[in-house]
Amino acid sequence: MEVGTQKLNTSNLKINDFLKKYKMLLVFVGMIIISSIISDVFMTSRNISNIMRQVSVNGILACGMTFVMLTGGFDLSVGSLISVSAVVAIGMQDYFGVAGAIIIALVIGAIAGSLNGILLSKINANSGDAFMITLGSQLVFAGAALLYTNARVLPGSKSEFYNSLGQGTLFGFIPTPVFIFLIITIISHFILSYTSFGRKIHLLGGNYEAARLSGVRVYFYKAIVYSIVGFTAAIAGIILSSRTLGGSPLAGVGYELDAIAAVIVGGTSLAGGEGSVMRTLLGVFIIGVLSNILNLIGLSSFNQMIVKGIVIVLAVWLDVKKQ
Amino acid sequence: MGNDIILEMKNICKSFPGVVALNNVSLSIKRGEVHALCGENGAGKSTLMKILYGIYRADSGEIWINGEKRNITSPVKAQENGLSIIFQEFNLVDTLSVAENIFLGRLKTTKSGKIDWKSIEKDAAELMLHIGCDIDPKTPVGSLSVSQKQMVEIAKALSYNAEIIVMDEPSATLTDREMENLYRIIQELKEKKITIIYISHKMDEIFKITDRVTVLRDGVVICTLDTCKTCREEIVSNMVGRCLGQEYPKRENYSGEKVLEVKNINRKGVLNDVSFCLHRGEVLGIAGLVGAGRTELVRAIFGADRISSGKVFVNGKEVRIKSPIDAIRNGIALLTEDRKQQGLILNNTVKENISITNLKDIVKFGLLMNSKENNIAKEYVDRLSVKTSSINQKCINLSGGNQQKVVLAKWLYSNADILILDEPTRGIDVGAKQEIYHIINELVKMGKAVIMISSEIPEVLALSDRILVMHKGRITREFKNESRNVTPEQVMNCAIG
Repeated sequence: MEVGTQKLNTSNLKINDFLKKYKMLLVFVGMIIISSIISDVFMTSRNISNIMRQVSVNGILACGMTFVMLTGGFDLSVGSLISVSAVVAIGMQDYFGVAGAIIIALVIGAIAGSLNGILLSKINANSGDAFMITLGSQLVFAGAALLYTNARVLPGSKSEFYNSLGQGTLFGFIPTPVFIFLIITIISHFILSYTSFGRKIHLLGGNYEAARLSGVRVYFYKAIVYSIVGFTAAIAGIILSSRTLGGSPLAGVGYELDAIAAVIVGGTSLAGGEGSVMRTLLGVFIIGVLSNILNLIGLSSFNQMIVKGIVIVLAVWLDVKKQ
Repeated sequence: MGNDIILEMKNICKSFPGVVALNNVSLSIKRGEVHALCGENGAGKSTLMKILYGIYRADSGEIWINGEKRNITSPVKAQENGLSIIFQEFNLVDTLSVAENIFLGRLKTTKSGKIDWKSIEKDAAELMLHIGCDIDPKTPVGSLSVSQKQMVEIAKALSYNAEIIVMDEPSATLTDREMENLYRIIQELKEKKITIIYISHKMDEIFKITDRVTVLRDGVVICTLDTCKTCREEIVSNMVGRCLGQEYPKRENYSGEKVLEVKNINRKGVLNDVSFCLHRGEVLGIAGLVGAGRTELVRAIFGADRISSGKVFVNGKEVRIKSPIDAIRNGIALLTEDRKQQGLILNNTVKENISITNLKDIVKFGLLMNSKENNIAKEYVDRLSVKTSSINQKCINLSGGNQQKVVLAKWLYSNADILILDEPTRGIDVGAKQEIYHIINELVKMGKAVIMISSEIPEVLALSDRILVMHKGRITREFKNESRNVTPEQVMNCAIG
């Protein structure tokens, strides 16, 4: 009798472990199955390519956000940084050429991000502090973008190369932004999983004080992750301005929340330490497919907001419950 | 007292996924006795008490209080049944006052609906006085010492009119003098016919204050003994299921040349002109009351906190240690007193926690060399006999003793020559303690220098070649202890100041 119960318990345990580990993957597979049943268009190559294109900007940003959130941090300012880099990358082309403008936009993104990072590291911010401080810098960056263009939308680039970043296709079938997204994902995954740098980010996210007392340069790593997310925001901004054929100072509004949502939905812990780019990738696609299918069945964007909001709340709830 | 049974737990079974935590456990407690519950970590003591207090539900079994069967489904129900429990991690709100904490959730109001602070503070003061403790009830709990917080918890328990108070290793973080105070209070509670279930690892106190002792091992009750009719060896061998050798293993004296010298270290309000030196192959014990500045001293040397002035010499050369990184570079390691908050990254694996101090060693061109890391982790796990299912196990799943061994492993891997151990045996069971002692002996034999802080004076006396005693941020006395001839009284006298 007793042996029987024990056996039952262990087999339950295995199923539980499996469910825990692949919970989000199962959700994703379920979504795809349901979507292809309720919509004929969903599984067409055109729609799939469409989804990929749509998720790539958020995906690039979410990769950077994964670094920040693994340290237990938070960055609300990246949406505004997207706007800044979008207008800079377009606006600077007349003076420094396309390559020059892109480099300037990327450098500005990284530096602006590291300003957040240095400040947060200096005051040894917890995630609540990070929330408030990056809320502040969000306003600063948003204001800067508006000032730079005088609140106008800058006309799109004349460069074919630049415009292909958002709209082009590589090797005949892969949309350029999707390709960039793929590269960023692979690099991020590689850094976080196989390098000393990535290990240290996991360690300090797991327990800041223990990592510090074990000789990890916590101040440096805590700051540098914001620089990374700033850099990815700049890439996202460049792609966005290329895709929409214009440098809008409001281009990035709301993107920070989508990125954070993707990271959380993927299952990276809000408390830091646990998570991965692969999980984020899953989160990006879950949110992307969700938006797509809601579009296909004709739900308005207001309805979509509600659904997205509920998904985020559910994801956080699951995360907290796990702890 | 006689055979008046106040509490009976009958045939309690509880299993968690994959483990049977309690198997048919029965326990009967007499009114007004102090009943010790001992067993190694993981023996099931805490689970049993959590069931009693309604935090866990038993899979089967019954709880009888005062001869009636009770259905305890929540801590509130437990309190209604006259039960109270004082956990190691207190349930107090640091920002609130003593009085508010005692009456948390039950604040009395005046007729007009305002909180009646006067009467609450008066009641709190009475309760505190009742247990011989004169803390102002308006004091915020955050500013109290561990021992004082414990007093607040006891007062809180009494405010519920608890008949049975469970204390989970209450003396683990207390100094000797604070313990005496606790024992006195327990004695007084006993005279008031309050029953106490006392979870403890410490044999001394079990013999000092308890009437009976129940030993648990692997979720089963091994025996219940009258404390006055048993001996320490009987209890310990029942706990571990085997005979342990000498509690403190002996070793030779290996002291050699000076490796560390600290001169006139000051930190405002904490450390006052502290100077001492440490030799190769030596265990230097630091004794003192909690708050004497022992932890602050070693943290300052390790660069965890800034110092106002002072010099540190390693192997005769002056070094500037501004951060733990500098300390590690100079071969200094610090095992912190708080293993869970500062020692380990609990959600990371054993191997990641070992390699952390010397990542350079397993990294080539910025890349982690997995096989090298695995080999190193396995080597240290074997060397310190860490009991873990794998090096990829998360540290949170290890017992306290094994967690401590992982911390030791990471500092051995850092190649430190100077190991500072702050309360290395706190909260770990008897068997694991002995293993830690053996490891310390091995270390000094290898020529490492060890500084050991411990609140257990017998431990300091038995292991140290020299002993420093601290009081109010100063070193008040140094004892030579090569022949282990220093007495606890000598140390205590200097610690009190």
